[in-house]
Amino acid sequence: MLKIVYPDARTFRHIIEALSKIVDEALMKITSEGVELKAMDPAHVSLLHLKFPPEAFEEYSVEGEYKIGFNTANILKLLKRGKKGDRLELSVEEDMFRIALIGAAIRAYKIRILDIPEAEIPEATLEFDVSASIISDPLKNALKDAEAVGDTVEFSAENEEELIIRGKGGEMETETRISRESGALISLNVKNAAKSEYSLEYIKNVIALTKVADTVTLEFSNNMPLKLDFAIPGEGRVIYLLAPKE
Amino acid sequence: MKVIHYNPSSLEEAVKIIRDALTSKKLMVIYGCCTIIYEGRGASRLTQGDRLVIVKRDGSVLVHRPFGYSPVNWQPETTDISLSVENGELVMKALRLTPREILEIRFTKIYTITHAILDDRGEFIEYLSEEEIRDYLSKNPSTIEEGLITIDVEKRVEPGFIDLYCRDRNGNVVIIEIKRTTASKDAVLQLKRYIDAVKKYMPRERIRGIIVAPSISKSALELTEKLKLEYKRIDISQIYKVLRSRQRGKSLLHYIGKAKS
Repeated sequence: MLKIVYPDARTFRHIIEALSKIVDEALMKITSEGVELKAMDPAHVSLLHLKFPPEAFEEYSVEGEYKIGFNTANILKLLKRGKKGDRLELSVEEDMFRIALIGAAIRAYKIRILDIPEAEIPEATLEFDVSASIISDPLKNALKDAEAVGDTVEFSAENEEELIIRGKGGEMETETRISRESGALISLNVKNAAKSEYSLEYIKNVIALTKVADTVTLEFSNNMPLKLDFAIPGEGRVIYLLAPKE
Repeated sequence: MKVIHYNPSSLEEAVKIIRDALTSKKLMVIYGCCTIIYEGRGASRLTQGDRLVIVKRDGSVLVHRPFGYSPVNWQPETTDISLSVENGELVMKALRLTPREILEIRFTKIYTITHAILDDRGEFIEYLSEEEIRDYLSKNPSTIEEGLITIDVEKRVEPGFIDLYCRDRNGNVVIIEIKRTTASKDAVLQLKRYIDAVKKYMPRERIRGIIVAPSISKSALELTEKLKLEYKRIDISQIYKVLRSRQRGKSLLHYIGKAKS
């Protein structure tokens, strides 16, 4: 049996919004250990991994293992119906997945569970030269600024004082400096100075996640993947990995 | 390719040059100062200014201002283009009969006229050519169906070439016909002919046929069902995206180890 209740339906909505930009269909695994979902875009450039432990939920009763395949656009459409303060209840009835938005009334939707093969995605064991914890809002603005000037975003850190995010286009450039003084930097560890470029076409897919996480941990090395770790209030994490440009 | 530039010294000379291009169906570009009057489904006037007028070899006329990507006035097809000099103006009237539309360009000055004979027999390919799609699908048959294995590409049979010759997970022969644009009835009949040809050699095998295309016409889909064939929709823009990013060689798997998938 499966019945879980998450306190904030809007958090899930923003996560599914990011997910829907990466894949059309996804597989959610629900066990007594928690809820987990891994999705890689068709070109294998980025990976979204979400992990919610049972503690993240108001109610969590799960016996056995559930693999729920769904169309991301369909679920997003339903979650968009949620209002501020709505709770989210997930359960399974035979081959149907039931999503209920609990507010002043209980509104339930049922969707047939899709049979989606489980893609074998390797565990990422990467070490990074730079690790920065920052407030997520400046990241959102830096990415939107970068989008306004071109198709590339560059992250760099030379020392433990500041993290620099640059947007690069053919004609224009933009720069965001995040330091302790500016107030947005929580921590910054630099083993070696590093600089790496990523495609905005991909990274913009996760801008929606800055709405649900107050802080984000950002890790990278020279010409290596970027790792964004969004800490969701309460418990739960969404990790995004993105291959470097070139 | 042949291009000739003219700098007419009078409007009368310009008439001759323009007429010559119209008769011999050359592409013509005129730089001049003009006013424009249009009447047809709507009506408009454009007061005097310097503009670029293009007459293509099929008679379509485009008037461009020095800014903006689209023409300010145009005539998609013309029945007749007449030329005259009236009160010190060169008047070019492009007439379209159905719907009746008249585009009148009144030049007070003509700076330059260019005639060009261009050879353009190229094909416009949106995203990928049929060969590129076939090549991708032959290497990634699971895009069409889980468990499908490619046995042969461009397999020769009596009526032609089979795009992809595959086996499904139950061991059935699967014949695949790929179309880059909307699949028509012809495509379905073509697939049927290939199946019949293969059946001659393998009378006992169950042979499946799949039309793979971004879309299919209604009548073609009905025929597909009638002939017990299948249709699988593919998203060519998605394949294009995958190929493009692979060319850039930046798969995440390269960094985090290979997935078996």
